[in-house]
Amino acid sequence: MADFDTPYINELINQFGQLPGIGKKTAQRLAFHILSQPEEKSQGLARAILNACENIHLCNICCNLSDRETCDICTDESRDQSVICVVESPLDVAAMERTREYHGLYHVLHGAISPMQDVGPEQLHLRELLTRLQKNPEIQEIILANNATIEGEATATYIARLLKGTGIRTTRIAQGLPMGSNIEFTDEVTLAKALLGRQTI
Amino acid sequence: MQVTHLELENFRNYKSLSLDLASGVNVLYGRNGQGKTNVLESVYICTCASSHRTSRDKELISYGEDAYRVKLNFLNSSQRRDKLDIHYMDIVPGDPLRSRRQRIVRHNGLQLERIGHLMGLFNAVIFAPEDLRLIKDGPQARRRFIDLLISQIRPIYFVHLQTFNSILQQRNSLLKKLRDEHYQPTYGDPFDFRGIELDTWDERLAEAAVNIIAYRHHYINELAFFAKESHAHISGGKENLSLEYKTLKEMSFFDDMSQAIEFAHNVSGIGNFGFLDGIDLTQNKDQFVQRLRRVRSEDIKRGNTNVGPHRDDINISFNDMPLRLYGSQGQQRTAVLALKMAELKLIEKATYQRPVLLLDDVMSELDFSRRECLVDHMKDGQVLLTCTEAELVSPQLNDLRNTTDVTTYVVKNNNVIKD
Ligand SMILES: [Zn+2]
Repeated sequence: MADFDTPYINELINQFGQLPGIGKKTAQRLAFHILSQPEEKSQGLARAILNACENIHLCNICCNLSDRETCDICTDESRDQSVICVVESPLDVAAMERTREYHGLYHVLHGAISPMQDVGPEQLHLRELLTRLQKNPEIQEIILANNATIEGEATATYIARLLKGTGIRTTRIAQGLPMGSNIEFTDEVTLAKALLGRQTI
Repeated sequence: MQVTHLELENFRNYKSLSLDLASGVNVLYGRNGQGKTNVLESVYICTCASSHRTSRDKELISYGEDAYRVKLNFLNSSQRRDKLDIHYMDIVPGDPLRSRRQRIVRHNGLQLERIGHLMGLFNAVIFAPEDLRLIKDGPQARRRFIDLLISQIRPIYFVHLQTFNSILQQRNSLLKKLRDEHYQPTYGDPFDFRGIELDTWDERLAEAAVNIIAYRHHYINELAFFAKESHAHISGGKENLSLEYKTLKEMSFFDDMSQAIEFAHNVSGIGNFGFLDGIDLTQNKDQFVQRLRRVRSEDIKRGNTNVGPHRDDINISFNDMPLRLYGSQGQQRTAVLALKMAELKLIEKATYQRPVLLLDDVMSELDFSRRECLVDHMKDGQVLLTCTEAELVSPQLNDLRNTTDVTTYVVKNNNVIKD
């Protein structure tokens, strides 16, 4: 993308262009926005990026992002220590927390099994989950809240198979229509499943 | 269903074509190489976004151009005006490095999110010389035939197929990796994590596979019924055509299921929620998993999944002999015609609507009894037919003029003009 005669601008455009969902045109717009705004604003952005990178790491228990060695959820003794909800990403933890209905613990895998992208179980934070289960006999249930994608379903199946025979209850979150959503905007597979799973009221 | 208007832009030999079509039989005649078939091809593309002649969209673009467009106005199953617009174009114009062509499909002006959503909107059945491949070619041609047929009747089947194919690709990637790692199957060692990973994909694949097999089983049975009927009609009841779904032998107990389905059919027509309603496929899934386990070391050695719906076939036999091996050219043509007429009837039964019939250059290929059968099917519904000028005065077409409306169009100089 070496379109401009200064390497500084090209480098900036290149860096933006590598972010997810950013094409060449957006990368150029962002780069020129950065250069046209007051310098302290751009420095603030750069500092925020560096600070986040330096201070955020994975919680040593649940692998969620945290600025402490052990995250707030894992250190909160008022939470139900017998249940772990397994999710693919830190964003999923935030979504689950917004429900205010779940008071157990989490485990963040940081991805899903996908042989085509060369992601195997060993690339996910599964070892940490197994260690947790070994160290904490009070854990009675694992809730698999993996995404309802081909890879997410496979990851849930894999974990369920790993835990077979351990005596730990393994559950998969239910699928269905999103509440408050219109039928008209629901995809056909979800609707067809919902029809087959209909219940007497 | 009835096509009322067709517009082509840079499609094959047509730079630009605008054509009104009539109800009844539309006859396109002209010399060979004038582009009669291309018109039928463009109409057929509106059923499933792919051509019956080629899988490469690029071939459909006029020489020297970089996009084609097909616009179709038709009366839908509720006799209302509907519009489809299929535009195959470069979606990143002006950037040769990122050039990527894609089919953009619009229904009544709104862009469809997935090609799968096109299925079932406009239904047509094509009968062309290429269809002999259904008999002569390998299983892939027959799988494609039945998959597109089911997708027109049950569009969700197309989504199930895509899911199955994605899982299959994932499993094959894993198999190749295991092959490269020289993995040896242990079958049940709790610390064989590779084995558990493969078990996982076996389970996902089995779930998707039995779904596909159930649909195919059901609709191949229905197709077989209509094909037998059509064939008996053409051959005066002297010959017997049968279709048999060839899938994993473990799935044979599906026969019980199809009886249950038939019963449900007799009671309530098509079944309120489709035929899978209330049917438990767990047993079939387990059988499929068992089968995958038995061929596991073979699969790893080849880096490929060797059993499953992607290897299915339909056995077509003629008086109990495999038609492909023992049928004469004429017998094979008769069988293809019977299959196509069965397709027409099956879609009509399932959608309560006669699909548009596209007949490409078939008048010369058929002997008297077959032609008569064909003409019989042309009386109801809309037909687009191509033929040569000489065939225009054939007795069959003359007969047809007595029973239905026949409109003729001459095809020449890259244009189609109503007589
Ligand atoms: Zn934590």
